[in-house]
Amino acid sequence: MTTQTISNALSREALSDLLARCALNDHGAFERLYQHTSPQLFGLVLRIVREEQLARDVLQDGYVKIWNNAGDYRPEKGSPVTWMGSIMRNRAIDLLRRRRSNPVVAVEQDEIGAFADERALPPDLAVAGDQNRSALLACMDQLTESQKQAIGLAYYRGLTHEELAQHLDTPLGTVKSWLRRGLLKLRDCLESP
Amino acid sequence: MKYDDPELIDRIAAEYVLGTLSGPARTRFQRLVTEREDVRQAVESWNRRLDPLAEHAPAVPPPPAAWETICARIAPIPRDESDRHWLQTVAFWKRFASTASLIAVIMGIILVLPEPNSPGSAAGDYVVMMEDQLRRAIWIIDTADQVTELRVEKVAPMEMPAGMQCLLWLKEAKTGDMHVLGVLPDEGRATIPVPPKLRPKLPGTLMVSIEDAGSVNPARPGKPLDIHSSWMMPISSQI
Repeated sequence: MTTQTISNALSREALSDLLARCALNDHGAFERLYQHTSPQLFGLVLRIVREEQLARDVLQDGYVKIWNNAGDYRPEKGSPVTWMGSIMRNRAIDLLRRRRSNPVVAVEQDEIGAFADERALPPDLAVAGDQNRSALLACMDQLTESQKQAIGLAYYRGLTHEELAQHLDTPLGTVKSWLRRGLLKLRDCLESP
Repeated sequence: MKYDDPELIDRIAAEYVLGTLSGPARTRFQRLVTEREDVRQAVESWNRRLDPLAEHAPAVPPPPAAWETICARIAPIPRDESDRHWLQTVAFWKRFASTASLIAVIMGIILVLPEPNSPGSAAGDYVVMMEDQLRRAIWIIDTADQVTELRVEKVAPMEMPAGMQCLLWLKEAKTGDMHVLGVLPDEGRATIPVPPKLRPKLPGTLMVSIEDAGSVNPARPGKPLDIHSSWMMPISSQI
């Protein structure tokens, strides 16, 4: 499957403008927004649901929601891509939970920790060095490998506690503890001055 | 489960955003997000913390058919009574109040206009406030009886880019089509008539765009300049 890195070709401001135009019912702006963001969002969704048809359903639902709620986007909440990504992830997770058919397949070790690897980022994104993302990556580095692995699997695969425990062959309570402590550490790190 | 403990709310919000919350607990929490301001804020905080991870996923072009399906689903966009209910929920207004801080100069508005000839749609029933990022009212608009005209009053100065003006639009409820109504006054009062041909298209919504000063009747809104600042802000007549 071919990957591309065109989703960040437009600046954050340009994407915000397109979203604002969508709120004004501008179909042309919506098409441009789709052209520039759908590869990245489809990649995200595909990573979570692991099935192309299901990913396509999520993508379609997500963009319809983006169109209908474009006026809700607020720049101070984050970049347009992260706002749209949040919509896609929620939809993907909802569908996964509903279908209960998310197989816990083998996960490559590289993928689990890849988000903390700056070298794995698309070049334009790595150069852009989004402040929030950099801060998050720095804080992720402070987590234990187990905490990082559990958070990565949950985020990118949409796994529940039980599925995580099964996949990692670890008692449920231990997995919950990894997640809880990892998230707390992340929060404290991100909010430290 | 009682959600009175802020630490508990924060923990569940983290799990919700991460995606590990499942089953009835997820459904229950999703409902709470729409009902409670503190829960919504906790979720937003965790979204802000974790969302940068979404930008890391490798890009994969979706199949072309996906776009065709999306287009078929968004046109036209029905705006029916259910929208009005959504706009008038307490949760919505709590949310509105907490997110009113914008980086730019002004906000736009959406006013759900009443049905023509509907009972109780007397003059002054429907008041719209347009506010800046400090939540100062800039314009106040109220509708005349039968919504044949809109009375607009500029009540506070507003920083506007040179050579720009604000236009008022009507967005059709059924089709989503946009029709320009007129220029919002830079000072004082103005009356903006609702053309007879547009009255049958009500109920609809009012929106504001920022345009070049010379542009009084563009085919459609959308000056990208400062569009952050012209976010559509729904204003209900029942606030």
